[in-house]
Amino acid sequence: MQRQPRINIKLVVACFVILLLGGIWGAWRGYEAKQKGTVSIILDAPDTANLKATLGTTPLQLKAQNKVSTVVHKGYYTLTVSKTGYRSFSRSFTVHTGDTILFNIPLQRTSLPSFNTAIFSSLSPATAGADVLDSQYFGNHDWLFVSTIASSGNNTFYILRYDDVSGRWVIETGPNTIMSQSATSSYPRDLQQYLQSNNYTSEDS
Amino acid sequence: MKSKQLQIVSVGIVFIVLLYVISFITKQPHLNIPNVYTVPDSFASAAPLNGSTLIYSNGRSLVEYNYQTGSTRALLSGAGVDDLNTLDSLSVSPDKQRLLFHTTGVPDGSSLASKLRDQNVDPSNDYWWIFSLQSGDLHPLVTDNMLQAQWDKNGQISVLSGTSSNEKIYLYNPDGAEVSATAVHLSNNYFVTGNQYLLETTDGILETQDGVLNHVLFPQQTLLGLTADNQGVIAAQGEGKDRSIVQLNLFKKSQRTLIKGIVNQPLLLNGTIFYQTDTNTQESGAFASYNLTTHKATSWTLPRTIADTLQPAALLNPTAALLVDGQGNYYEAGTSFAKPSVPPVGYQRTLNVNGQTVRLNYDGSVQALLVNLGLQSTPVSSDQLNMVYAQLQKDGYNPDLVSLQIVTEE
Repeated sequence: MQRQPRINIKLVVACFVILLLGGIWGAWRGYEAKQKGTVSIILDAPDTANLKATLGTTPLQLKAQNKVSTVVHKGYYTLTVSKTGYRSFSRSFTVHTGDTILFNIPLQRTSLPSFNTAIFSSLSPATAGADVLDSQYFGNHDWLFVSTIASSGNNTFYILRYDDVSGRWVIETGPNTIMSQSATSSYPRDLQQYLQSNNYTSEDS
Repeated sequence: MKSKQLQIVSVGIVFIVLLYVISFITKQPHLNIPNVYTVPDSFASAAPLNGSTLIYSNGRSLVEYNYQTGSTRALLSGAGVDDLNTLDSLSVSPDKQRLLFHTTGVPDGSSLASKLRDQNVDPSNDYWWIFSLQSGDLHPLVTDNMLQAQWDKNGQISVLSGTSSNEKIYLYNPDGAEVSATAVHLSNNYFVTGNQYLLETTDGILETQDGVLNHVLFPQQTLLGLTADNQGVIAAQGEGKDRSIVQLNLFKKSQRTLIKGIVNQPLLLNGTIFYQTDTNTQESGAFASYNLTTHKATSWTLPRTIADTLQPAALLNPTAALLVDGQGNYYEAGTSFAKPSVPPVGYQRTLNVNGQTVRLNYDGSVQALLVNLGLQSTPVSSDQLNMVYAQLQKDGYNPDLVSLQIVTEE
């Protein structure tokens, strides 16, 4: 008489428990995955030099003028951004499941970068001998339109940009009497509009 | 046998009646437009004031025009012949007391230019203006780089202004006093809903209170306007044949498709959407209006001769609209329009004003009456203009509906 194979009850129970725990773990992971939201940050600053940003306790690598996104668990967070020469930004907020939150942070300078005729004359040989008639800040006060009279007596203008890293004004272009509109496409919008409305640019042929 | 035949006939009649009833219930209502009238090009600036009148600029004045009776009323006195030639984006305040409009440069010697110079700003730039219908007072908003301006439902004016990589929304009281300025994410369009801003951006439809923290509510869509209760938004989404109009619920964050297969940009006025569908899929005319309260669409049946080339330009009331064709000619279409009394193309007259010859010629290509002063070097005089207006009236035309162009060459 052949002996019937015995079912190992303990093995079956163990398998069942493992499967059950696996199922619970998978369901929990799935549930947890859904309990998340997205936080995106667009930083309006000329660069990221000397910049620190944290979301809660997590450091963030932000990019100037570009969107950076991170997926976070639902919960209460504080976003902090600081940069030398700029006012610190801090904001607490709640992320609910499925939320997409977009921060649009225009960092404000604590003071305007100083500019005067002596600074202008020292920029390069190109500016030597040119008399400054007027200057106006644009963008986040980090662009300058400088109208001048050259030594030849002609009216010219320069576009300067403040370099946060070196802490100096640099000549973006000049001396000019007119520019093509396409050459100004990377300039701040208010500067572009100023150049256009005052006939400092011409339409591209 | 007779009774069986009677039964069959009765069943047949009941079946036909039933079919008729079902087709009647399911059939989309039709709005029959008997006439579509040509209107001057200056109607490109038109905005509805109420259910029977619109306001537009004829180049020298703002004009209130009752399109049901044909009567007009000039609203702005003392302006030159072409002071308002560049006027566009006209809108009426929710309380119907003020107008908001945009100009792209104003003539150097005009009263508008002097108002701008009083505020130390360059008259050749773009500005938005507030006009009081009660007092006739006109004043500009002089914020830099104003891209877009509109009335919000509280009667304030919100202005989107471009600066650097950010934009700001300014809020003004109706008298032009600035209330607040909020830096916002770069936006193509926006609306003010209570103390929140709704922004149409490349990152989707955002809702924000301070411009810094934005909640992304919906994927990228084209905002058309708010619903009457301010709790919903009407938007267009999709491309090509999949383009549709949706209603977004700001509280539930849900959306409902209202109309599918639209072409061109739909228009929203109060509780009515005016839209155009592909002519190949619409059995009777491409235009239709959709009532947001009843959620029912009504097809507009236009005269066949011109129906194919038109696009929506402005919705005046639920049964009246302005349309524009591919050549930029404007038409009014609706159920109760008076025929506009404008001269026909080629209309010509010769006047003698204080011994000086003034020749009139209605030019269809510019949709304006050319007033030829010959070799006269001085600006057109009020005597000459009054004679022109009198001649038009004498010939049965309404001067307010006629744009003028002064020509001084022979």
